[in-house]
Amino acid sequence: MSFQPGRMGVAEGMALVFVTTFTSIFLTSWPLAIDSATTATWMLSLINGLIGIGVLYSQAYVLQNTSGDLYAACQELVGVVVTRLIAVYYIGIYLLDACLLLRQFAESTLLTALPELSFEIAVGWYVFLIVLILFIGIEAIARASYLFLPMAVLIVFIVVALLTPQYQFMYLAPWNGPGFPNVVMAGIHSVGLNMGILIPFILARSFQNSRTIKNSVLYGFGLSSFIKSLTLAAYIAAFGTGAAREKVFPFYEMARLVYINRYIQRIESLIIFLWAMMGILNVAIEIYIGLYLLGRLFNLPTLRPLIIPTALILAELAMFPGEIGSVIAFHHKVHWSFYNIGIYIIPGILFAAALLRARRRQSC
Amino acid sequence: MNIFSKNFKAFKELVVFQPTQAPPPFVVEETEKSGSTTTQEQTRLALEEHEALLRYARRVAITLEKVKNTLAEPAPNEKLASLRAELDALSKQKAHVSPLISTYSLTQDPLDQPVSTSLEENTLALEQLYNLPYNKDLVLRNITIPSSIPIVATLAFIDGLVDNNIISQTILEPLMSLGRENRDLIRGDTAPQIAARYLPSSQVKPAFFLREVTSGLNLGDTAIFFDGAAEALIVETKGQEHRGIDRPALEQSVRGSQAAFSETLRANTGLIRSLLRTNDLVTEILTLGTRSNTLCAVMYLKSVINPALVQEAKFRINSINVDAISESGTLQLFIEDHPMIPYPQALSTERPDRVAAALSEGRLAILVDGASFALVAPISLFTLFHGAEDFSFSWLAASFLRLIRLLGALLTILLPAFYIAINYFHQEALPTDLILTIGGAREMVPFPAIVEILSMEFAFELVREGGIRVPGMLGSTIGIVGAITLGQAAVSAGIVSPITVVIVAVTGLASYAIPDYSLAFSIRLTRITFEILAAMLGLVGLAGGLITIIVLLCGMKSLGVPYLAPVGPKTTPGYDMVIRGPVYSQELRPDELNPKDRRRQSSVARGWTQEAPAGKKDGS
Amino acid sequence: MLSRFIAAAVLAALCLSLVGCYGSKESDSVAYVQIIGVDVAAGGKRKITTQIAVPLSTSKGGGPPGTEEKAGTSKRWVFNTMLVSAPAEEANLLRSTMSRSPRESHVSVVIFSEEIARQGLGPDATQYIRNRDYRETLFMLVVTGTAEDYMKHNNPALESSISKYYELFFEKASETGTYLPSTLHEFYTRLKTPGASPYAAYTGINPMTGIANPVDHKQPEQKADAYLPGGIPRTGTENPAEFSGLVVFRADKMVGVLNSYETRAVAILQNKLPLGYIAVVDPLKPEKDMINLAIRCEYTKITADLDGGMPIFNAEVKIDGDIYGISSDINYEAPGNREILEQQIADFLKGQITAMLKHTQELGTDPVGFGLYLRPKLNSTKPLTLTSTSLLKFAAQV
Repeated sequence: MSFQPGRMGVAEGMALVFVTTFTSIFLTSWPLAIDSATTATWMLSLINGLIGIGVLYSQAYVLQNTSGDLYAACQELVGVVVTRLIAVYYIGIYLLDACLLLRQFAESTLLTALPELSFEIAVGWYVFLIVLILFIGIEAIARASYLFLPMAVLIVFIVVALLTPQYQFMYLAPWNGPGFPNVVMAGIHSVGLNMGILIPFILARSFQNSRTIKNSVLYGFGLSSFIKSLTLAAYIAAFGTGAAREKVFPFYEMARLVYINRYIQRIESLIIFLWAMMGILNVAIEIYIGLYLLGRLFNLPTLRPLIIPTALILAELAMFPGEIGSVIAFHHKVHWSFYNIGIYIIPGILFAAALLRARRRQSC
Repeated sequence: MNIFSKNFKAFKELVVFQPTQAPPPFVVEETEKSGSTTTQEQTRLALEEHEALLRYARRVAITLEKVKNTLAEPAPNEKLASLRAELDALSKQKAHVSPLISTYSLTQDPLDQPVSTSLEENTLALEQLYNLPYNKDLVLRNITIPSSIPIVATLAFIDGLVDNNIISQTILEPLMSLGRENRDLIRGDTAPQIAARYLPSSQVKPAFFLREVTSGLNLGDTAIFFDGAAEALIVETKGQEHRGIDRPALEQSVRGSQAAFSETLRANTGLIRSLLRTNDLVTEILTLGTRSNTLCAVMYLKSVINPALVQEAKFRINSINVDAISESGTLQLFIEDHPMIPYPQALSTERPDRVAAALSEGRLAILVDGASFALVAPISLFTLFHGAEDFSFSWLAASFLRLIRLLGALLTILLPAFYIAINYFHQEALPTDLILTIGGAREMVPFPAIVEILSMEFAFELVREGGIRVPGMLGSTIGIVGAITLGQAAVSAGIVSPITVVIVAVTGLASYAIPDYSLAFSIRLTRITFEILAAMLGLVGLAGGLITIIVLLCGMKSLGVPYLAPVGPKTTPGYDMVIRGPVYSQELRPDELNPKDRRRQSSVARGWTQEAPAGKKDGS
Repeated sequence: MLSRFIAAAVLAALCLSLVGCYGSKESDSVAYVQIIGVDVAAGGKRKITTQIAVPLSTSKGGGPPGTEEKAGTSKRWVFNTMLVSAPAEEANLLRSTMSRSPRESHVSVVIFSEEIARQGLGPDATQYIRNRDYRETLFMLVVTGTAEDYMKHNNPALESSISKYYELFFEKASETGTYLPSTLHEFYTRLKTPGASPYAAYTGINPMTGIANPVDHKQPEQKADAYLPGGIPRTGTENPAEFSGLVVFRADKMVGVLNSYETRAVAILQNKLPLGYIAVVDPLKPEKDMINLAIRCEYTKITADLDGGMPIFNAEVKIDGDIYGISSDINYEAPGNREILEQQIADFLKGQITAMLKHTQELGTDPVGFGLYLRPKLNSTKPLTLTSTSLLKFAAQV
């Protein structure tokens, strides 16, 4: 991996966005969201999708009117000092997210697959793999993600289809949950789950052109929003809101619930493959983005020497909280608040600055 | 001598070990570096110079004697002419010898010496280069070409590389027996005249330095030195004994051509050219190995291939600095992108039709003299799953075969690891009856499951390896019988459970569905790693291994082309990589190769579908 | 490069060996618990019976020498009944009474005694839902007597695995409709989400005396009898366990039992009856003749409406009948007779459904899940908790 991650196309960008925005389906964020949107939780993902597309077009506009990637655009539009602040914020977000995800995936390994494993080894194993694939490079990670994408979609569809006997579609009613305005508000709040949509903009230099970026975010995020929405609808239809909000790993529970006959059941172990791989890819991508921004911030010639220390520090940090409940609650809280700065405010500022500049140019 | 000392001596002889007297064993001496080599070398060279001068002096003396004898009485013209020729030769030799420093330069490689005008010098030089009294391969044959002025010449060739009939017919006969017609060779440029007029060979070329001479000799050509000529003629007389074109041994196929490459480079290039008869096909010959001087051909279709690929391949081959390369596999190891990863990064095939198909796709082929396998690069992992008969079957059948092979590869990688993971960690993943069966079968087995699997795999590998070494027809029989009896015996002895035998056998069988041997091998290595990971961390370990290997493969390149193309990175499909489409849909060459010409066939390849049937053209 | 590569590989291998197959269990060092039975005992304690598979018996033949004779004589499963004060203690005590480590991941059925069901299953069901070892899809049964007794007498002759016995039993539930498959998942979901009441399959041991013990209530059109477990008149060597009827709950407490015909009415309304057999009194010769039919429930459409706070439900059922036998030789395919027979069947089924509804309304429970159809009528999830209680009183129109 050199400083620049290599050339990527729509497929790779799509996969990066998909992986980073889709993994939340394996974690507790969505069961917690049921508290706010009850039967209409599946709509949140669609609302997120719509907002995400808004962000996408605003940022595509920013990139079209500036040169290079998001960092360069920032420098051009709001000056070096503010850019650095913004970069620090994004580095913080991505590394924090990587850290929290690492903890949750390690914890879910213990809860779902290997109950007697010691927690440190689970974290260590994941960090080891993440370091390994980070050394191979983001290009390869993106390509591998692209290979996983159809697999993930297929497995999700299979699980959703196999659950058919368990559905009670009336559990999805009343359709508007706690009232439509409440659902929309929850949707607006929960966009922070999808920080991944900014990745192609940050890595813009590796993409062929702005259309590639636009398409990759559009397809990747569109697909992930749609499938998340479908899965959540299936989840609520199978469990009802009452039982659904008690679960910790929604998709895993769905897989556990599959019972067609004596032969087609007990498939949840196979789902371990899916979430373990998606989790590793997701954390690796987020660490890479954090490091990449760090490299841009300090004008570093290469990122390689930073990989191991960063991964180790993140692993240590991930082991820091005493129990998983507080991690989940904290993650949920930052998703619904702190992350939104990176989705609404900073892109908003950039968009406004780009608009302003374009108008000034026209008037001149 | 008193009794005491006598007894002491006897006792001593009895007790003390006496080494037996035997010649000292052979031990290779370690060479010690000494700084005196240069002076030794210098004296040697000086000695050689003196000897050359002495030889010249002797020849002068003999010639003077001859002149004296000839001139003593009135001589015929011919005799005078021959005398003049001899004197000419002498003067040329003098011209050669006189700038001694340039001829016998201290730093000069003996191969860089020019061909001398003196036959004696040339013979001596060759004798020295080929260590003649010991080395019996080089044959030197002196002849006299009868002409108006008889010309003395020496033939040099290496026995075993030449065809003696060709030498007799194209060199000796025309030069010697047909000499009754009075040939008049104008003095001066003997060699070009002989080459142009009297050598009925298809390839004759002049050589001015010993390097050219030796390289010609090493390839099986014959060198002719003429007295008084500072050049030699290299005549094509190659006639090495070699294996004919045989049926493919490893890549047998139900349909398609049944010819395989043999060990002769030019025969192999000819086989490929016979399948691609176009001026577009370029065969570049490179030389490999500082000592082996192996010929190596790089073949490609000029108007199709991406020129950067040719450039890179030639650059890599030329940059190899090694003494000998005898096999295309060794060359592959020298030029591949990732030597640390066991997955093959070039396709090695013994089938000319596969090479031709690859060339027409815009890949290049590398053939090494003496190797009956051609290398095709760049490739993607999926190329290695193509079988020879895929190309002549219906696209549905071919796609099915390819999917079976891919499934076999997946099975061979995952099945035992899966069994181990489930047996150790995820007993809930199987239906109750199945896990009870597995548990029940393991009831009497005294080993953990991982030991069971690894030991059975080891046994299977032994059967495979032993089956190869067992001579002849017995090999395959012993392999099958050995595997069956071994498995059966192990089960009835209660060492392994029947399930393990089933799993290892299925895995082993599946690994043979992979057409490429080296790929099958690397997949087997991967499998063992996965088994250990599964034993340690269950499916989580397996998932980790799987993701590492996939990211690794995604990051790999074969001659700069992504290894997992066309799926990672996604490229425009040509419908002949992972699965095979109908032949008429394969319109484009693989995108990842960036060929000069993307289109392989017109969008309507089957023109007849657009026109009326042949009998109904006139509308009747 | 090579040395670094090797160093990294060795380091990785060393790190991995730290794991050392931690927590791994060979498949033959595990005891597979298949069935769990929960009984109530004095002092609020529980008597928990576990049925554990004996793996050797399932690997007849092909195994190492010495297994065959053992397989012939030994049992297919073992029982372990313990008196514990909490289910968690049971897991603990099980480990100190067995050589093998018990794994609950293969539990396929949990059986509750009627007594404990009447006390309320909430705490016990939660235990099995929340525990990672159990899966939600396991079947849930309520037995007439004690679970321990039932499990010990339930000795299927055809099946070598007791899990298979239960799985097959519930797979064919849709062929009769007189009992319904009930899973812990469904029980818990219905308990937790407003809209329907939980239920469980009802089972028991038949004394095998051949004496009929039918439910006394009978409709005029009805020819055959409805039964509860233990009441079916039968003898023979087949397993004495039988499934019939449905246990209905109000919240997590068992409030009553539906007989086999009422259960079929529930199945029809739930659209879960692809096939069933009925016998009705011959409408033209009602004295002693009858008509046997196979019925097929094409569809059931339930609509709900809120009429001034009072929910009204409409159920439309389409049934397809196939005559098997007519004892009176009257041609019911003939145009005039056909309508008479159809009316007879409709009356019969309607009577059953109405009886079931009456019964459940008396018990204050809603096994069909009428409340679910009311959910789309609500504006938001807030009033859901308020209405859920009032839902139980409703007028149904069939």
